[in-house]
Amino acid sequence: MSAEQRPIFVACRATLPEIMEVPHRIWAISVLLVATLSLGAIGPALAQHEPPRLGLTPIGVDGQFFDLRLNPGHSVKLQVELASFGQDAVRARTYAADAYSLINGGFGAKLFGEPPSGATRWLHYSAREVTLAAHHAVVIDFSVTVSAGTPPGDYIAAVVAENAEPYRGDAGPVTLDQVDRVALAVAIDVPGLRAPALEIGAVGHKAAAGTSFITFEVANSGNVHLKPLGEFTLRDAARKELVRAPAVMDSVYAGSKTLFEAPLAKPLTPGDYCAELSLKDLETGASDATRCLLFTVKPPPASAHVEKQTSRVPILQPAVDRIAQHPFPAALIAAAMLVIVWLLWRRRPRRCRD
Amino acid sequence: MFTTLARRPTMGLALAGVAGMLVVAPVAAVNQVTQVVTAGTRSASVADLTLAAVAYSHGAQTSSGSLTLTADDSTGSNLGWNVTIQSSAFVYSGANSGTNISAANFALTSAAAPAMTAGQAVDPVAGPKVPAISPVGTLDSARKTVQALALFGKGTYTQALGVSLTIPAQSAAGTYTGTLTTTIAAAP
Repeated sequence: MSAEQRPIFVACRATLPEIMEVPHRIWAISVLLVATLSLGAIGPALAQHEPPRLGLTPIGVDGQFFDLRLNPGHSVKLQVELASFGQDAVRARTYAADAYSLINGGFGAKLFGEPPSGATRWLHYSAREVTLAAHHAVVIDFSVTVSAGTPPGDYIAAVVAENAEPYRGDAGPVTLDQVDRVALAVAIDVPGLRAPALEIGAVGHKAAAGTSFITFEVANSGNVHLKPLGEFTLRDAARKELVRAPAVMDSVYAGSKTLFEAPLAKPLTPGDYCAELSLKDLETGASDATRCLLFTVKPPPASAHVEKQTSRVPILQPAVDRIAQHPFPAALIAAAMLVIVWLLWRRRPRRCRD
Repeated sequence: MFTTLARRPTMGLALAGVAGMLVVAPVAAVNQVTQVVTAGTRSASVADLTLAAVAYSHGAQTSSGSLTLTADDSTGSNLGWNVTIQSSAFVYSGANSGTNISAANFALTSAAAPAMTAGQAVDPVAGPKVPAISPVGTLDSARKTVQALALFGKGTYTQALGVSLTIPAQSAAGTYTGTLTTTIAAAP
């Protein structure tokens, strides 16, 4: 039967053992090809689950955040380096954000998209997105101009870098989209008279996460950043002391309001209570204290009864199928398989003629 | 013999071509690169989330779980740092006209002492450590779970965190997806 006449799939009935007789070099190359493609395709797919590692570093200043001293109407030019330390290219976003005092004090930076206010408006820092290769960086120029007429005091804002597209962690049966941020403070000292002041406001109670929280409003009504320390006391309706604990707050920034929040070891039963708080900033002497402020814990509404669940129906989104999430690597693997089949097929007629 | 030699370059070219695609494709997506990084950074991320699945219920339910926070300071700056986590609302997607679950329903229920995996040892006073007042609470506000004071925290650390999600009564069957924002910061 001539080669021209024979149907390809009948004339040469190559069996698996025959195919296995293809010279070892061919198999070695094929295996190498598959291995290379598999590593190239699957590696990036797995690497997608590695969190992005972005860096945001001040250039030309001592320290890891900007600590400036500027008179009203004056400006300074600054630079910051936005870098990727991860193993993959990452789409990064950077922007200026309001800084605020966290619950119990500390530095917080508002999320992307929240409108800037206060000292953040002094930053001429355009929000932008850049694609960064692994271990590469861009330098961003920006400036800070303190508005004319600004009263003296401590001011603070933030610059932030984050992954522009939330990633989905490899986290088992349920997942959360995740955004990882690096935030730097831009602290600005406007010279002049300092007037530290601290005010403690209303008491509150809330139930969450299976326990009770006692809160006090805390305001830094002066123009100096504070780190208040003090004591918190909880009493029942008969003024019997239930809890006495140190109150240690981190930074409460000038002109900001936050909460002192004390989680209790167990939920309070419905009834009347009172709580008192005293705070003092040791560096400036600013202080305030309350008397025992009354509050009532009400019975939870009937609809708030919480059950512990045990069933198996997912209510949170399961991990996305990796192949569906990474069609390019999957297509490469398929292409590699086709190439191998084609190469083996090319070998078959010659061996049949032999 | 000639045929065999002719096929080797063919296969070589195929291999080189496909391998070349693997190398070129990621590079083609890069832009605005101006310099090579020489210094380290700080980073923080969350992984290993476990949160038990739930079924429809007429009453509210709580699904408890855990996650692991990893924080790294490779800057060598000696200036300290802190990490906060915050959640968005859980957005409903499905065919049953469900409503979103508030971020206030997702809570941090515990924060273990951080453990060093590389670098500087943990100092009980200067950290990395859990803040003096426990950070437990609802994650609609940022919660500072770990902090390192100046001269400390130069390494990689992990922290086990407990979380719970309260699912309101009669929540529709479907998928609820939240976004967790983890921030590592340097500030006064």
